[in-house]
Amino acid sequence: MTSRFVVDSRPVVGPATHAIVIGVGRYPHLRNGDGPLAANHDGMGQLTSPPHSARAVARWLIRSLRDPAKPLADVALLVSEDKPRPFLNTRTGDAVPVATATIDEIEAALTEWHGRGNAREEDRLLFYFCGHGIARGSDVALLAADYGVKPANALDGAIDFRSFLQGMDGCAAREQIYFVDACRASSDSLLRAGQYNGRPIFQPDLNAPARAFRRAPVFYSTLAGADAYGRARRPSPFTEALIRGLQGAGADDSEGDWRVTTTRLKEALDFFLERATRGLGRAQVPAADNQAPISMHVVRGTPRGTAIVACEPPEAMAAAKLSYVAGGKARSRPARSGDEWVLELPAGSYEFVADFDPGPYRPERYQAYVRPVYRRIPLKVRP
Amino acid sequence: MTTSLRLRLYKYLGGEAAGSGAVANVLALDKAGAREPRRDRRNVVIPAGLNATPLTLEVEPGRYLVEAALPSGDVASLQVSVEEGAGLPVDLVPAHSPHEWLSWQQYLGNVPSRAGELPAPWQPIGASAASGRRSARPALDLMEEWSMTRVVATLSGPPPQAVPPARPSPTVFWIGHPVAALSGLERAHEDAWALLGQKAVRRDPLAALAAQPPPVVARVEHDAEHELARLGRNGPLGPQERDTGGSGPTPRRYVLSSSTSGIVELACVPLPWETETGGPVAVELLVRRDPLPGEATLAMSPRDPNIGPALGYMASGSLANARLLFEQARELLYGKFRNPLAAAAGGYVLTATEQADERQDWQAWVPNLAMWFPWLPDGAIQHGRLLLRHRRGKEDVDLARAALFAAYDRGLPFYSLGLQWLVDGLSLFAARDREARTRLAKVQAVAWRANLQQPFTTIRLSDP
Repeated sequence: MTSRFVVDSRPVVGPATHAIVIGVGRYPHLRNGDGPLAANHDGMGQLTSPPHSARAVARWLIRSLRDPAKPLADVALLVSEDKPRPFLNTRTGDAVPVATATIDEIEAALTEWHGRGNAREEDRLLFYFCGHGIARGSDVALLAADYGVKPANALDGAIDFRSFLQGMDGCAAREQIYFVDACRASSDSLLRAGQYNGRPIFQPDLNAPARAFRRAPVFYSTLAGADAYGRARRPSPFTEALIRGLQGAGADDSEGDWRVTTTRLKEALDFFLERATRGLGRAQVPAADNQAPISMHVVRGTPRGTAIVACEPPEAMAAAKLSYVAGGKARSRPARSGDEWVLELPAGSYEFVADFDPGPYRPERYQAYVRPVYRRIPLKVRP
Repeated sequence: MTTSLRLRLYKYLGGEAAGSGAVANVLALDKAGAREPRRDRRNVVIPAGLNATPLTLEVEPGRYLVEAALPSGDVASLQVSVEEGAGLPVDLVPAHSPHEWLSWQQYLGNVPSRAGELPAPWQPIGASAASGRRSARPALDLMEEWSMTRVVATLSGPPPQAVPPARPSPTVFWIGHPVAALSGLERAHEDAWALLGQKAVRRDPLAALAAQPPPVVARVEHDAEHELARLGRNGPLGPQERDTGGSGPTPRRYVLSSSTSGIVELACVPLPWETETGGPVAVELLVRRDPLPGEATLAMSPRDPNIGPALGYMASGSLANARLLFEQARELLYGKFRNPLAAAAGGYVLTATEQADERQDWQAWVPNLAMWFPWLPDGAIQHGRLLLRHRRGKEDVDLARAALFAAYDRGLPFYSLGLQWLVDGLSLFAARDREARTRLAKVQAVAWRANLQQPFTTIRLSDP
């Protein structure tokens, strides 16, 4: 390893991808922490999902990210968790110590990461953060583990994300992709803090001539002003949606092979988050800024798309025996129900069938090509 | 003999047709149902509306999956097979709107589906401390571990009720004669940003912002969750009334909503809005009785069948699709500048999705938008951003600073994106420029209260 933050590295000749992954769950100075409680805790407490989310993202990147044009060169990982443990690199089998996600460590790791991306314009940078976020308008502060350690300057323990993004324009890599899995709800602390929103990490230099155009899409797990959600000791729904999107649900085959693009990934995030939180209305709607199309991953094999099978009229669903046929093999819905039948299927052509006991509806068959992200299969049954 | 698909989005849009309604992909399949990407036709802009004239797209005979991504984020798809020499009608039918009068809003994504079941992975955990907060949907469990206000909470609570109880409706006022600082009049020389930062605005917003007593905006339609109003240049319009007012862009118009729960929002009204072919159109105002966290009470959308869908894509973050629609319209938008507000929307999308470094024609039009329409802050903001992005030296940096300062002097940008870009631009100068720092502080104080998901600038004046 070339750095104490890097948990995986491999030699790459030419343009490369450099990732940094941060998951902050243990906050000693927030509620139920083991340090003095910060005055500006705003009701925030300990989290268990972010370390799991960060590890899941790092694992996926190491094991699966594949872009022959810009192969993965390194993954840096910083985590703050109740019981620190090494990161098991499944590619090498090594148990690698993980740096703690304090603000000084994050700043040092980001500086190294910036340096790796500064080698050439063709490089790509990936940034992922999961933890507490506080916001006001377009300003977002991402809280490091030691947020609040300085009683008179709690925000020194945070990244000023808007300024950080601006400063990153000074890095040579012209493709930068950001994922922020954190709340963006308005915060009293930030509203009281004047113009200081945390450490900018890098300063923009207006005296330097502009570099080539930077493509820097930012994916937020939630709308500005809204909360993000997760589950105890498991990756958050946004992170799960992100990994599903990267695995192939965010892929398109416009080039012949299946490639995950940032534009298609946005559609996958929208779809999976909507389904994951639909019981809450629009409680968590992902958002994206600076949308720019970047092909970031070539899927091995055939990705899966979601088929949402439903009868029209909907009243017919409860009576329907649903099945689909692929490659000569039929699979049936286990039990009749009035709900949609939601299937994850490898991209391809299928025949969907609604069959009925003798009664009010006639059987219906429907040929459909299913592909990522999803396809609605309307079985229009007739009396 | 030519073979073609005759494509349109078969969607009720109040009897109108949108020439540039949605972006479709025509994906080719072989006889066995496998993909044949070489025959694909991608990024096809299709019309929308029940009476829209379909787009005729020449294709090779064969099977196709046609998918259209709607501004709302929904996807409409249909699989077809076309024989040689045929012209096959392909009507893509998206989800229905709960009411005809909400069809435009639903099409643009302002009316999300709220019903639904908890998906399998989310197991109810028990009664929620927050269960009173949203009676119509499962609440968030405020487990001690998961602070509701921050990153991770857990979903729990009872299943959603089918019909939410009606909430008291916010009162919406039409401010057609704002005080000088908000008027957009060049001679005003008053600082909109300083005004909006005053405590008097929070104490009595109507008295602080309106130069004349503002009328209440009457709804033309409503249901338990939404109200709909129509706005024209001279004020609220009746259900079928046309915007015939002859007044110009200034004084600028605003609406202000005040709810019984104390939420007060101010929104810029994008009027006058001229279609490129058919004269002025009304702006639809959707009022949400019970906005979700992060959601605005007010949502506005001009009933412009050509630009409206592009604004919908813009609001939903689908800028690549918005770009396709604006590119189709760019000669109309920038050729005569008949509708500077629409041109500004196009400028935001084209600037935000710029792909290459080479200069393009629209980049030459942005300075004109800034120069010719001094009541419009948005053109100056875009000009400043482009100058910074393509700066070659100090002269460009100085020009960018001047453009951003001019935008500040013109008052609130019409578009939320402009507010963000103004903050971004001024903050680049703030570290070494006292005047920029002063202006940034005032703009930020307003931007912190903005709902950035709305395409048009919408500010919450009440305290959180």
